[in-house]
Amino acid sequence: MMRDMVERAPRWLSAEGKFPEMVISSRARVARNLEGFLFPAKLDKTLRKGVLKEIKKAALSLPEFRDALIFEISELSDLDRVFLAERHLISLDLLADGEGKAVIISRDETLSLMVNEEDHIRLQAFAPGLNLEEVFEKVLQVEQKLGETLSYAYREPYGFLTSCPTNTGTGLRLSVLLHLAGIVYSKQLEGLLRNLAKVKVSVRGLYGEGTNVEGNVFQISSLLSLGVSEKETLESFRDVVEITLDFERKSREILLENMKEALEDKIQRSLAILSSARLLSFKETAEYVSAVRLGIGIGKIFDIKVKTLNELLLFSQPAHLQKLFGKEMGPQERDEKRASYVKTKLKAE
Amino acid sequence: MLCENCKIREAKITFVEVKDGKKRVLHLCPICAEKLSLGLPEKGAPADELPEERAERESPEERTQELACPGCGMTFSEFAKKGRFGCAECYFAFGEKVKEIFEEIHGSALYRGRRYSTDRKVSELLRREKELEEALEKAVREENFEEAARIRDELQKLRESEQ
Ligand SMILES: [Zn+2]
Ligand SMILES: [Zn+2]
Repeated sequence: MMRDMVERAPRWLSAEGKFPEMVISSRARVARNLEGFLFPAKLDKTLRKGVLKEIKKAALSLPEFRDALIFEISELSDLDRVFLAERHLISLDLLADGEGKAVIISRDETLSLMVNEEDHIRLQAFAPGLNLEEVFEKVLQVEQKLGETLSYAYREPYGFLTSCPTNTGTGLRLSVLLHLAGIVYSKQLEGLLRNLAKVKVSVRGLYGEGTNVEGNVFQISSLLSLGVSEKETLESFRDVVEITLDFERKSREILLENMKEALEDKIQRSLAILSSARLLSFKETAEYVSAVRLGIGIGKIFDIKVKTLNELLLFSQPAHLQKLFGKEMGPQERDEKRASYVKTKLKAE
Repeated sequence: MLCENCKIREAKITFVEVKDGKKRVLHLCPICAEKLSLGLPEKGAPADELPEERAERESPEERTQELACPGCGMTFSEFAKKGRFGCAECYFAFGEKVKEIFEEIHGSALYRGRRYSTDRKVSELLRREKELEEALEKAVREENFEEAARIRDELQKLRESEQ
């Protein structure tokens, strides 16, 4: 099953949406629990499996999950778990072992349903580029359909009850992966963070919780789920993203005005290294890919697709690389294989 | 590693904070990270006091620390430490303290999302009602009063049918 996944990138990395060079992907998720069961952390093994069975039945009856992929976490190797986390299909929380935990993934990987993670249900919808409306509609639509067969834990005055108080209420969270090289290169990141600190969003690195920013890719997420309706969450988050993108566009203009040669040099050097290096760490790869990406954004590079860069980043991650080459590899060997993979991929353009 | 803010829950998030032009990297638990992202006061200020610290400061009758949830057995101090509810009953077992926590995190303890009922028919009606309410708000905002009147009528009919 996982074999098919190794050969292709998910649709959300296809660079088809709006501003794909700056907005890698859009995502919406809702958290739900089932009425009458303790939350997963307190639930015993047998009941956890019962919950899984019930949710699986409800999900698989929906057309959205036709021919879905189902992985029970306890049956996966460590490598496979990390592979799914690198694809954003499961969270770092699900990496920890535990029976009755599973993930159900739609064929095109635009929907993922984590079962018995922090909550019984964590449903996520993904789309390439800036497309918050699509993921918003999709996730709530599927949530409603599931809610017709399953009974959610819902009480006045709090709404949907979740394990963590930060999700109580709508259980809804919107997020985007943004490529903000202009802001970083022009040293305006602090200014952006200062602005974002005033609105209700969080800013994190590429892989969400607990990781550092790499390749100038930031995950910005909405935070509030009480005191706001779903629609208001969508509207205010859309504004935050627009403001951030404007900030990025202005930063790029400033760069082009003040240090055009240095910027172009950086872009071309990065491309040259990616095309000819013999060893590449993930961190380096992410940095050079970012510069090339910016090159596409400001019209200095034409013959490379954003989609190719998305795939490069995805498959440069440790678990993806090992799955791609079909063997376990240490860091040294990975750096070598990564460089050869990147080189081949760029040559094929 | 423990959260550098509350020093109680496990740190899971690397948080970059910018204050007076200086950058600071903090390792935080999700709850403190969200609080800081929201620009809420840091440790030390009463608004950010941990529930158990507050319980210590307050008079004994106000203490909720020893309360245990009848649903899952979780005590309030266990909840304060982990930052996670054990079950739906916890929300009501810990009383007003839960509301205060929501006020801190979300700036509100009131649900404003779509209403839901496990009864499918009721659920459908509630959903329709919410949609109409939103459409009405929009019509009023856009000063489209004809449309607003039409929606108001429809809403009224819907509410009558509910009773
Ligand atoms: Zn903390
Ligand atoms: Zn409980």
